[in-house]
Formats: sequence, C-alpha cells, structure tokens
Amino acid sequence: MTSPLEQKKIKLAGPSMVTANRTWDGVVIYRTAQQGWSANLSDAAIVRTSDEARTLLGEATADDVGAIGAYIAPVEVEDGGAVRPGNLREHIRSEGLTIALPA
Amino acid sequence: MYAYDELDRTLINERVSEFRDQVKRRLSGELTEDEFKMLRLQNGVYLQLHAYMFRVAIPYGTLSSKQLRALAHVARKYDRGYGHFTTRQNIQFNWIKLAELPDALADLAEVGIHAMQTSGNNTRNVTSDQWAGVAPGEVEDPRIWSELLRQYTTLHPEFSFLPRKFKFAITASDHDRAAIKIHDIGLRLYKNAEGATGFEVLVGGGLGRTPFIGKTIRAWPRHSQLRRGNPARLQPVRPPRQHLQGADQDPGARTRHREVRS
Repeated sequence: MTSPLEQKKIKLAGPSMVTANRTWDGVVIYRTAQQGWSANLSDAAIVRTSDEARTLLGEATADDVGAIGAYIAPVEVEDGGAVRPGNLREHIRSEGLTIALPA
Repeated sequence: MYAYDELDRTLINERVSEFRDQVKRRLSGELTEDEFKMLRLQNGVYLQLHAYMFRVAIPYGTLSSKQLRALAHVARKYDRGYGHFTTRQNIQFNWIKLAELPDALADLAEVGIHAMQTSGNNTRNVTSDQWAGVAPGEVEDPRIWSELLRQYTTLHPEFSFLPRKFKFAITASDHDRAAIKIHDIGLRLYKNAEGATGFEVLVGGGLGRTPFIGKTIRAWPRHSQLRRGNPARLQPVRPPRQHLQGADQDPGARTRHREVRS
C-alpha cells in the first residue's frame, strides 16, 4: 500500500482534512482553518475540492518546525456536523487501539 | 557479561550529547525534518502512525538486572509504563516524546545502554541464542563472538551507510534457536572431526517481502579469519559510488541488494 506520505496527485473522494505529527512529541495533529494545528479532529479544517486540499496541504508542509509528514486524509462528516476518521488508519491515529488492553 | 570500560562510557556519553544538540537544533528549526531524519534514525528514533517510537539496543539479548530496571524507569518516566521486546532482542517504547529523548538516552547511558544502530541502513543488533551460555551441547559461548562483532561493526563507517539494513546472528548449538538461516550473515560455531572450533558461514538469508534461506558459503573458517571475512561479505551489497546521504533515497539499492542475494 502506498503511504499517504508519498501523495503526489491530489484526488479527493469526499470530505478530507490534513493531518501530521507534532514535532516535539509526535502527537497526531490536524490542520485548522485558522492556520494552526489541533490535537482534536473536530477542529480540523474540512476541504472538499482538490484545490482547497492543495492549499491546505501547502500551508501545513510549510510549517516544518511544528509538524512532520503532513498529508491529506479522508473524513466522514455526520449530519450534525461531527467529524469522524474516514478510514481505519486515521481511526487508529485518532482514537488509538481498536482492541481493549488488559486493565 | 561484557563490562563497559572508560572508552565505551565516553563513546555513549558523547553520543548522547551529540543527539541532544541535534534534537535542540531540530526543535528550534535549525534542522529541517529531511536533515534530521537520518540523524534520529541512527539513534533508534522512528516516527510511526501515532507517535515517535524509540528502539533501544540489547546486544545479543543480554541484560543485567540494573539495566532492566533502567529500561523500566524509562518506560515509567518517559513513556506509558511499558515497552515491547522485539524479535531482534531489543526493546521499543512507542509513545516517547522527541523533546525528552536525550534525557531518556542519558539515563540509559548511565547503565551502559544505547540506541545506536537499532534503525537505519547499517549493521543491526547482533542476535544470538537466547540460551547462550547455558545451552546443553554448546561448543562455545556465542556471546563472546557476538560482542566482538558488535564492537567491530558499531559506528564503523564501512557498515554505517549501507543500501539496506544488515543483520548478523550467531549460534553455537546444533539446535538453531538464533534462526541464522534468515539473516544476512549467519554464523554457526561447531567442532570439526579433529575437535577444533570454527564457523559455518551462511549468507543472504532474510525475511520481509522476498524471504530467502541463507546458503553456506564457507564451511570452515577458523576464528582468526572471521573478522577479515565480514567486510568482504558486505562489499557486494554496497552500490557503486554510494553517497552517504542518499542510501535511503537510492531507488536501485533494494534491487541490487536482492540481485546479490539471489
């Protein structure tokens, strides 16, 4: 499977966001509409066209000090506006393990 | 087990200082991620899906209780209270913060532990039989030879910028618990009919996308020939005019490596 970090062509299949890892601690972060980063997916800027995605990704990758490996990833936007990860990879990155660890 | 002398202690302490400076320069923006990536990989630091991952070397799987306690201390202080032992007898911490890594390395250095060559395209941790030293029928303790190879290859420029990672395993038993046939170089100590000890040398084994069982290329080099032979074993996998900074990015490196192995 091609890593999303090697994205070259931007082709969206639905609503998407830009995600990366925070440089100083590696935490998963999301690019916001305010040109910053947030650790909450609900703060992510949602893009729906390739041009919007390209612009958002360009801003994100320009911040080499704050974030590493920015790429575009799908999201699901529910009727009430809640944002959820759009695939298993992002589900794991956002919410952690898919199995319960022993207490 | 091998006891670090002043030279070893100086080497790993200097390595910690060097990495502390590299992390500081990365966090200040003086180093870009492209520039820093190779430096962090040479200190066992990966970036995975969810966080950084820090792999610490446990040469041939041998730890003192003091070192094990230091690993537990790192897990509790800098991670989530646990680590993950690997098939190469190392340990990984999966939630560590880059900014705290130099401190974690410094704590480990106090008990003679480091993370050199636990990632990147170099010779990785030399592995051995988990029962080394107590296995019935063992012709010699393979950890002595593992340590010799560890010292010879650690930070050796010839082995530090290879096209791909490179793995050694050593056993001294008929029962191969070190899985030497799936290593780039597998060494089996055994006694010949005259009762003298030497090595069976296997090369080219590996797992991954194209698994390959190593082939015996030399049935009987004596001890004294071992060190001389290993740089020669590595020579075919090094692409011509290898650029030090370009090993990870060389698109032909994997192909050439496979060609040599097959």
